Amino acid sequence: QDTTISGKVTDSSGEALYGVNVTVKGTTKGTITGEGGSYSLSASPSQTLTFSYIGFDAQDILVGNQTSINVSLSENASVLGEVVVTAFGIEKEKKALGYSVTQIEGSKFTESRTTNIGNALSGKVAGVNVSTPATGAAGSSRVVIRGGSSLSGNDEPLYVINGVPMDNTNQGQAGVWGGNDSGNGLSAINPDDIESMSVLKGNSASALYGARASNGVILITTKSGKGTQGLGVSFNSNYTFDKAIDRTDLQNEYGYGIDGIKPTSQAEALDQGGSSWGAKLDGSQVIGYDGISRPYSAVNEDINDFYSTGSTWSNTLGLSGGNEVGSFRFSASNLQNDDIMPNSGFDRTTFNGNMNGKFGKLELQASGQYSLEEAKNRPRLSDAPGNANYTVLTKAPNLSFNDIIGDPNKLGAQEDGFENRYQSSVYNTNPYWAAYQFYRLDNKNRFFGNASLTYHLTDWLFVKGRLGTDYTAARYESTEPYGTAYTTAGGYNLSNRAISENNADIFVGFNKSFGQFDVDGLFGGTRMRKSYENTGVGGNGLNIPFFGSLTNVANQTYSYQLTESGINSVYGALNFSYGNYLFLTLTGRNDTFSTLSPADNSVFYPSASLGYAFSDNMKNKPSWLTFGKARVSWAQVGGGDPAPYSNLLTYGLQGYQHNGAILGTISNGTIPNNGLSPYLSSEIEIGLDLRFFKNRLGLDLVYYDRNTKDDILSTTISNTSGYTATQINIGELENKGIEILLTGNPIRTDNFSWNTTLNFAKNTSNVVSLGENAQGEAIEFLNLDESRLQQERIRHYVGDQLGVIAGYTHKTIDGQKVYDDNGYPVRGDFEKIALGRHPISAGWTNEFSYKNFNLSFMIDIRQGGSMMSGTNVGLYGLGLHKETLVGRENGLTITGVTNAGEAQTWEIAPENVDNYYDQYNNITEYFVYDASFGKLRELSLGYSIPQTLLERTPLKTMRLSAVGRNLALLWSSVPNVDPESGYSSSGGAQGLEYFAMPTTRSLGFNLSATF
Amino acid sequence: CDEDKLIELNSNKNASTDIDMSYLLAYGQLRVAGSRFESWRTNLIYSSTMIQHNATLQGYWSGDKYYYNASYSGAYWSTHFSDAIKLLTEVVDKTADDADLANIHSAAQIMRAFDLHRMTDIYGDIPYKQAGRGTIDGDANWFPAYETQEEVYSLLVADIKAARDSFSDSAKNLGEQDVLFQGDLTKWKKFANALLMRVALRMSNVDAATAQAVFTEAATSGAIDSNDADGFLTQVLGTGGDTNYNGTSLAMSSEGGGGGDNNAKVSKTFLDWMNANNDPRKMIIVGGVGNPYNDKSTWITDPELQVGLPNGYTTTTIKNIVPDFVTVDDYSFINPDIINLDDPTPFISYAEVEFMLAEAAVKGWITTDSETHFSNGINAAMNSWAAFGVQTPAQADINAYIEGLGYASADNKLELIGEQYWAATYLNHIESWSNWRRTGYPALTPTSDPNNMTGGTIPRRLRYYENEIGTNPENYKTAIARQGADLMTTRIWWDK
Repeated sequence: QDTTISGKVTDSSGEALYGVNVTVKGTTKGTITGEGGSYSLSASPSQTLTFSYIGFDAQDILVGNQTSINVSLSENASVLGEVVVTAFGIEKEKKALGYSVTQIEGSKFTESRTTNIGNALSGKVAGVNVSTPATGAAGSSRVVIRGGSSLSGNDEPLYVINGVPMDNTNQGQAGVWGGNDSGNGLSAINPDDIESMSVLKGNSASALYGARASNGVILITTKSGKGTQGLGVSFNSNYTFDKAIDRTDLQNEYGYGIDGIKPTSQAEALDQGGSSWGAKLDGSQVIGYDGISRPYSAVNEDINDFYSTGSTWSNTLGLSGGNEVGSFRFSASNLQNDDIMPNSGFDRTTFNGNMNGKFGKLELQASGQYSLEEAKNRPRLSDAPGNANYTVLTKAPNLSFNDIIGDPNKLGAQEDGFENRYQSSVYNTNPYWAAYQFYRLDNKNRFFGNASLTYHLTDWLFVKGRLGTDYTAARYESTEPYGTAYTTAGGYNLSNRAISENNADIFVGFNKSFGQFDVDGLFGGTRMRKSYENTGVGGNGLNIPFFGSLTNVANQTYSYQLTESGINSVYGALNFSYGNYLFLTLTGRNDTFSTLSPADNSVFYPSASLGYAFSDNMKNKPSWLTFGKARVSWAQVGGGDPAPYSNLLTYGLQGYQHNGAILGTISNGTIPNNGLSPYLSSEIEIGLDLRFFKNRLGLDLVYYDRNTKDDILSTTISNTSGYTATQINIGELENKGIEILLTGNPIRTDNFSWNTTLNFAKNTSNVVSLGENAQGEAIEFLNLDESRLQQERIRHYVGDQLGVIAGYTHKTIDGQKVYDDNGYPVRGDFEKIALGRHPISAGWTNEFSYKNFNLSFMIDIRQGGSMMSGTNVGLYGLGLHKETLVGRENGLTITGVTNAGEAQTWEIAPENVDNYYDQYNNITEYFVYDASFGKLRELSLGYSIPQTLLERTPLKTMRLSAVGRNLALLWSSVPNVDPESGYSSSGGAQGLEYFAMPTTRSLGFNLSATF
Repeated sequence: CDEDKLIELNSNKNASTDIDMSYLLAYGQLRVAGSRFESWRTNLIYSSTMIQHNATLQGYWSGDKYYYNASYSGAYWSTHFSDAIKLLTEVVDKTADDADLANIHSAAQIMRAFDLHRMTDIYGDIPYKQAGRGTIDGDANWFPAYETQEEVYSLLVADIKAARDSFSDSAKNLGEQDVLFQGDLTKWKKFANALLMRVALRMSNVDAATAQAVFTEAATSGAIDSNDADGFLTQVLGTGGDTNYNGTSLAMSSEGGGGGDNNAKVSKTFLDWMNANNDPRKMIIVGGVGNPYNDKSTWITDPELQVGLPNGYTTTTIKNIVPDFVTVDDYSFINPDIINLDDPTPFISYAEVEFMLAEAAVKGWITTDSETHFSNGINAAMNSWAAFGVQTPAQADINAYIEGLGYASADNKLELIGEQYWAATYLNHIESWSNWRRTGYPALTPTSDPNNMTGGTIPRRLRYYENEIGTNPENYKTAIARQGADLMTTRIWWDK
């Protein structure tokens, strides 16, 4: 006969424990503790109740004749029993792992949030380097784990949601000739839906995800209703203000003009409006580009006189519920962002669902998300045309934004509706015209999700089938408006994209114990198919002025692209554990790629990892040692999934004719290679996990050494060959590094506690070899991106670290700088100048809590990388950089040597100082700065409303916090721009900077509540 | 099986591994005519101002003031190797062994030679043999070696001759796939000979013997002999984007999405020269004074009131010579009717052929009458504007003009020829600049902007595409070591 048993669960100090699992042993019956640690369930006197809770030792209690059972659980003596999500979404006790996995709880992303969740990882995990691109709120993110293992620049990790890979393809980046950041797949993720993120850093951790995991894996587990009883409601609202950080410190003494003279006619003023080489500002009247005279004096504006105060408001409502059979969670969220770039913003609505149920031997699980993203006027970056950032930063000190704003009813326009030009170059677009008259809108309708069925053949054997899909229908619309100076007839373009990735898995798993031995494992196969289809229509020349529409395009063109690819895989994993302190994992996987040479398109790679929790096998464990584990692993990952159709030379047709002639072309811009085979990366990882003083102090140390061979590289070749690049299996890369995670809990009293976490990582990615050229000579370097100035580029040099900035040095003879007849600097060779990526990253997080208050902040540090600042080159050339003040009054005296090596002194007259600096800025090395920085990245001050105050309300919990992001740049030696000002998240462009968006500082509030 | 299906995924459903090579030929011809990008940078910004056809007050028109701009200087190189040369080389190689495709092969070979000839004249030593052959022989042609210009010239002669002699009526007709001559083999042979004559004359100062031999052989074989056989590429409007538009027009015209870069005016040098001889084509070149783009009432078309803009000045420095300067609108702009988007692109004109013959006759290479050639050339040049849809000068005016030049009794015949060649190649500014470098005619006064990069001399070449320095360093360095520093003042082989 069942009786109802109730009671309360507390910890050893008497504090109530919420969420403790209370199960009737040997049955599926159970509940969890609610408010105040209380529970109630029915059981018969002969049954035993099991009380289990993460971080505490489980307790079994025979019911007997008791109707009230109060339990005090003691904290797990060894380790906080951390459970982490590993490959295939399998939860494992962290203790049992032979490799490094870092898990971050979803709550770490919800307060001081970012629109692209990837950027929120910055500073949180040792060995994970996030370069937040300065591309606007709707932009992408760039996350690289352990420096990446590919020379190709495609070194971002694989993202997996609830066990199924997600498409994170970048939909477009700014390049040499400008463009905008069209975002990546991560932008659809709402932080409120995240239960946890696991970062699988090494090859062993990611071996089971195959080729695409060779740069690591980030597993995202979304919230589910698991463990809920009844209905729960949660609500989160977050509102932040975003403001551009003005890093400029420009000269404010000389106005527009050239050769030290201010303009004297309207024509001159228009001509010289973009050049700040004029006379000393003296308050006299000066004619403007528009014929109006104004005082020739500094207007003292900063960039925020142009940029708006942005705002981001996001709201999420979550519903969850469950009973013995199953559970669900559903959430709806909306984010509305107004970017600091006027007339630009991002909206996102997501609906996320997750359900699971268990019916006897059958378990089913399904989760999915539908999202709608809309980005308006993603800011144009890099090259000047249409890029407001360019003209905002290069405005002369005596020119006011108000002077150029133009028609109040059509900002940036002059009276006839055309662009209001205020300086000579048609390509330097009036910032108001760029922001208000250019029009770009894109929206993405996306569904991703997966469903799985598990059938438990016996209590130790199951078979599981799973289908996952990620489908995006995106539409990109843009117009270059009629009346734009550099394209007066304007243009209009529309493209529709369908992007899909489907994964089908089937595997069997088992789990068996033999005395001290536990064995579990799984064997299965995956079939992945990807496709990308793009239809573009549009063109330039609008028939009817000022009417941007497809039907109005005079000169229409279209384009069509379809690519498909796939990978077939089989895999298996075996985990052995002995005595719950010795763990061995073996995995193997075979991938077959559609895009490689059919003769060599398959690769098998194994891994083995061993973990030894020695503290659990010590006879006389010292009292200060809480837990100790040593681990070692060796793993390989095969990779290399080049773009489809790069195997054969193919021909395509232009979609139009010329006088009846059919126009054909060669489809490949890159030399095809039908002999591409997979590359192989091997890694050894050694780790030590130590906890001291009852977990008050923890140290996690990792050393890894990874070697990647036969990487598939796209290398730039001479364009005189007819092609600009080729893909080849060359290259060897060695990544070595250490990761240190130090956790401390220096103060823990009833009312006050202080938790501190320091993570540190140093990675050295050494380019060992880049193969040989046709003459059998070793190739010395590999070309990656170049920036708009086209006087520098990113290269991989053999013997150097990955991603070096190469450019022109100042020519020297015997260490003496060489100047030409005029005394202007002479360029030397094009050579390596500095490392463009940071080898060192660190994050320091502190959390203080006092009663119901808590305060946390995080300092994010990058060290050792440099940046080639194109913006500073531009500021030099235009006479805005403070350093260009030198010599304007009295000229410059230059000492150096002539081209013949003879010592000489040159006097440069004040009117020629602008020419001197114009030559000076051809020397790349003068504009490469140490880009190391420290930032106060996150700050939050929160208050949880005490339970006592909530008792009479429907609220269960409520928390209010003030949050901040990027509050302070603690140190940086890059002038005028933020050290994180890259205009692209492309791997080949790291270390280049050129008129991207300013970075922003955000301040706001977060409210979260549960009902 | 499943693996076959997997591999099948990697076959592109929208591209073919095989194509009729005449499709590539047609597109390749259009690419030689050029796109807006390099037409604007190389033909206009540099060539048209260096040769003082056009002038501007704008600093970014680097050729006007002898500035160096990397992307403008390298523009022709950066685009043509990877489109025109790539396509045409593919056609040449894929049709080499098929007698039925002889005409496609020859046409492609001649177009390839035409474009590489232009590039060697612009830059000096260039890759010729390996150019555009990146997909042949593994990695052997990824970093092409540069032939010396002398070698390039001998290869040009050999290739053009071989192609000319391989045209065959029994091979497949090109038909409308040939966008230059619609399959007319006679016109192709005339074009080939005209090109050989151009190549030959260019060598006249450094290898007169070869120049004369090549020239006379080609002239005897028969070059372009009427405006009907002109090497003009006809443009057609319609869908298809910039490809179907004249690139030079696109850069200057405000029509149909062109950049509308109307910052270039007619050069004072050129306009004064036309005025001095009462040139009847003046109002063909000149569109008027004023700014009708903004305000039609400012448009002055009176021929007497046309003013050429002096080369080499900015809105500031021009006051040194024009103290009462107000606006650049007071200078004559280029006639919009000759820069329409569907105006033809001149490759080689009949007029040029006649002027080349006139020069050869003066040199004593040929025995025909120099004066007849000179007069034919002027007639051809005047009447060639008909292809642009503008009213050509009355015959009586042309006759009077020729009369006025007094060629028969002149002792500066080569100068008169050079000046006419210069006038006849307006719009084909690159060719005009090359011929000037060889002959020194017309006698031009260099401009003297204080910031010029050439020591106040008209550039003798453009600098290599900067990308080459990084991507093909060994071969680049070899070329520089041989040819001289990579500067605009370095003289190329035939320009000694």
